[in-house]
Amino acid sequence: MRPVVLFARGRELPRAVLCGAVVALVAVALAGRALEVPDIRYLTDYSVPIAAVVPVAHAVVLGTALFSPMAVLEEGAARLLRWYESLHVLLLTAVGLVWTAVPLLAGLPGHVFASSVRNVVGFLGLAMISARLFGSGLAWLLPLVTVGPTLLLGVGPDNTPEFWAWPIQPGGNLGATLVAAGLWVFGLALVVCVGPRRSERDEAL
Amino acid sequence: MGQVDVGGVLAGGDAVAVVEGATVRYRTVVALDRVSLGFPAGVTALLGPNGAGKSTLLSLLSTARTPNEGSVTLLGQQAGGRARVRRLRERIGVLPQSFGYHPRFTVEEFVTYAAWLRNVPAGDRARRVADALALVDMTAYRDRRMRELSGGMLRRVGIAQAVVNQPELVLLDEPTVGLDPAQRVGFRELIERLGERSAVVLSTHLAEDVAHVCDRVSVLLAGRVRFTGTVGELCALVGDGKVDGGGVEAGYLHLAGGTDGAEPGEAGR
Amino acid sequence: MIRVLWSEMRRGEAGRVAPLMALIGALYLLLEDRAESDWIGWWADTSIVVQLFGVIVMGSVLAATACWTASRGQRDRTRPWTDTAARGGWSQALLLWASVWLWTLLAYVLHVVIAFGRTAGVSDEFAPVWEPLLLGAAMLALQIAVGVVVGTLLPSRLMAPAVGAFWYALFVAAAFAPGSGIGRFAPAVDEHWAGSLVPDTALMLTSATWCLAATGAVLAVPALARRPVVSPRRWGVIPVAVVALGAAAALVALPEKATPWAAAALQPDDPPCATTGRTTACLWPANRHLLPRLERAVADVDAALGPLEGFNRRLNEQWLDPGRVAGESGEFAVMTPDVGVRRLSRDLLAAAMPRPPEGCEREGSKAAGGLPDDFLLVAVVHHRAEAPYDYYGEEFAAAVEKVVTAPRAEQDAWIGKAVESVRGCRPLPGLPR
Repeated sequence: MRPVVLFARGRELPRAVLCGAVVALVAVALAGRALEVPDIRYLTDYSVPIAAVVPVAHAVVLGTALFSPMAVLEEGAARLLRWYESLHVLLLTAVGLVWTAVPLLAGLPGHVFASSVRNVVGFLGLAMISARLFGSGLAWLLPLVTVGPTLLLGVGPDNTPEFWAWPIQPGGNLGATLVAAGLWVFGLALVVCVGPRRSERDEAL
Repeated sequence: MGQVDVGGVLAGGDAVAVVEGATVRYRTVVALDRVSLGFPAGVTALLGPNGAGKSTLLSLLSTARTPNEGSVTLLGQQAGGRARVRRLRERIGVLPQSFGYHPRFTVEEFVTYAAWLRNVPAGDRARRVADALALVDMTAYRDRRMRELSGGMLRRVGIAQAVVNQPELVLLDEPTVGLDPAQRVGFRELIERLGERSAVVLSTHLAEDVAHVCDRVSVLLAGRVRFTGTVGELCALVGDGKVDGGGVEAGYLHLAGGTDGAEPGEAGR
Repeated sequence: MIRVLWSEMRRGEAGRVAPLMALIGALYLLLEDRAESDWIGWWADTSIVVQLFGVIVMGSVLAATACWTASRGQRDRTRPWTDTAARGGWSQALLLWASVWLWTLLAYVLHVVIAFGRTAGVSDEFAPVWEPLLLGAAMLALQIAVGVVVGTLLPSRLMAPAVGAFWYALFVAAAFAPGSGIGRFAPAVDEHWAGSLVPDTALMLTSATWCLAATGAVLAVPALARRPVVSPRRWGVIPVAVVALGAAAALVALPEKATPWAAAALQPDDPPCATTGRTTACLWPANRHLLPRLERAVADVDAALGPLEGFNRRLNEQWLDPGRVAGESGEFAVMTPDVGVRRLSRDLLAAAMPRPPEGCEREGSKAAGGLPDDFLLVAVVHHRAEAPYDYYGEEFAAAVEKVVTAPRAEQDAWIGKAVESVRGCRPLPGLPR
């Protein structure tokens, strides 16, 4: 058990969990609030519950736990690490879901929780994809690049979300759910099957 | 003297590791060109300038990569197939030229993690970690955090993680770089002790290390083997064959043509 | 120096992130529907949109990238080497900042080219507005500088996304608190100017000066705060800091306005106008490209109103001063630069409706289903013009039907009296029998 704990510690999972707790507390405080989409389009008037946006922060924090400073040693391991990488991703996702559920205690409506769950899964998938494409230090890149344009440009002139703006779709939207799930699956496949970029091999935290 | 003939492949039970006709290419660069070498028990040096292919050869021996052409046989088995590679890795120890570590891991935690990566059985793990730390004189620092260690201590911990699985083949990539003379002497003694129980392949460009520690040496230049034999045979290429750093250096420089990487016979150009 | 800068640009992460942001921005600008766009065709609003995307979306991400790049020394364990270099910390930070900012500017310029190209395809004139773009570039400089500073002083994996999130959150906070002053010091201009407003050049240049000077001053902070590093010379930092403080003081002192970053455009001597019969409508010069459509819309409205008296026959785009004109005038707004004839006709017709005098509150009437009775007049006139109007229930619809099914002469008479009633703040006349 201890080496598995070292595996998780080596990826700074405890730090990610703690930071996620702070984000969850903020989400609890803002549980009933809506984030007005800024008027970059001037004509729109659309609000997105905070709890649907906070998952981005969870995903970005959890994405920092995709980096291992011992990649060089792990590359030459006799042990099949893919299973552990997969479990690690599942654990990250579970942590994200738990932190996403915390605002329920503060009366978060169920439909908002549904969109939060979808978003934490989807943004974590983006973080994994970003980590493998750009390096784990840039795991935040695709989630932030997605959420910015989505919030600011993702509402059409008819005051409904654009088809591509999956994070701000209502909680039961099937297409958005499939996109989020697909991103997560793709991200998991990349993490498990593709090793970290060579430039990360000797990095410190 | 002209170019030394390389025969160099040891057959049968002498060799712990054998590389036959190995070629490795990185895009358009040929890092290793039809290299054939055998590594018996004892300490074998890979000597050569930067970019000669030493680290690439070590990566073949550690199963970190496979050659584009040729074959690698380790501990009597062809190094191919995922399951076989994983089993071979349980019997190989590697000290990379540089390795990352979690700064807040203690020395013991780091070596324990390495033992786990090498599939050391759980029941034996604590004892093997203790033995590895004792071998490198780091027992007193087992609870020290990695970020608090000096360069020499880090190298010793690196060797500890390389031998924690009691490997039959130990690969050391530039193990004495950055150490002061006293630390280097201590390392040589450590490597000699390793050589008594495992086959050790030592990649270095320090002639003194070769002279004091190694039984055999292979000289790599521009991805090709220029010499393989005993250290004494290398020293005998030039001069009286006295085995010391100067002799190794002279022999190497003779092979290299007086400049790094130059073809033999090109001295003075 | 150029070679070193180029080397830094090649190895930094901004070389990968900026093209991604360039692509996203380009897609956003290219895929915008021209017919529904609120900027394609208006040079000022075009600049605002490019600036806004650059600052809010691109700037936040590139600031995070700069933070990550700046923490490289910690990750690669080269900090002891860079800290003890002869070249001081300030110039090292400036080099790193410049490498990220230049990549960002390349993406920014691409967006400018695309956006200007789309607007040139609609507008009759080539009159790019530069002030918002300059301000945006200056703000990008400040955002990236903050990223560099945070990455240098707090080199943790968590800080890079935190920097990006900080900028997003700051812009959202500024939008929620327009009078707080955040907007002047972290400018992200989000206003709709159409043709009637022009940039407040003095304010924008002052804010840009603040951004650039603050950039220089902020980048000196790590060199001042970290002991091993060679500190910058005072004669270098102090002037920059003084300029920053001066610009900040000016920003505080400048008065607040309803449209913070704009000033009223000068009234044109000869605005583009269209006249048919008794009806005339005029536009701001920036909407000159709409004149052909305006002519058709004016013809529609004139035909709909016919000989009816009392309506506003001189119609001006919002804030366009009609000057001394005979007859009543009304105002209409052009909401999108590529507005269609139908929408123009509707807006002109609405502007032609008589308005009650100031202070007059019209009460709900039974005939209008409880609504103010001037709604009834609007609905009747729109019905006659075959233009859409709002439905307010069966009772209201019945009242409209009663008027429009009466003989024409009766309708005209009723409408004439209704107009007088509205202007005189009196109840509408009874419906025709």
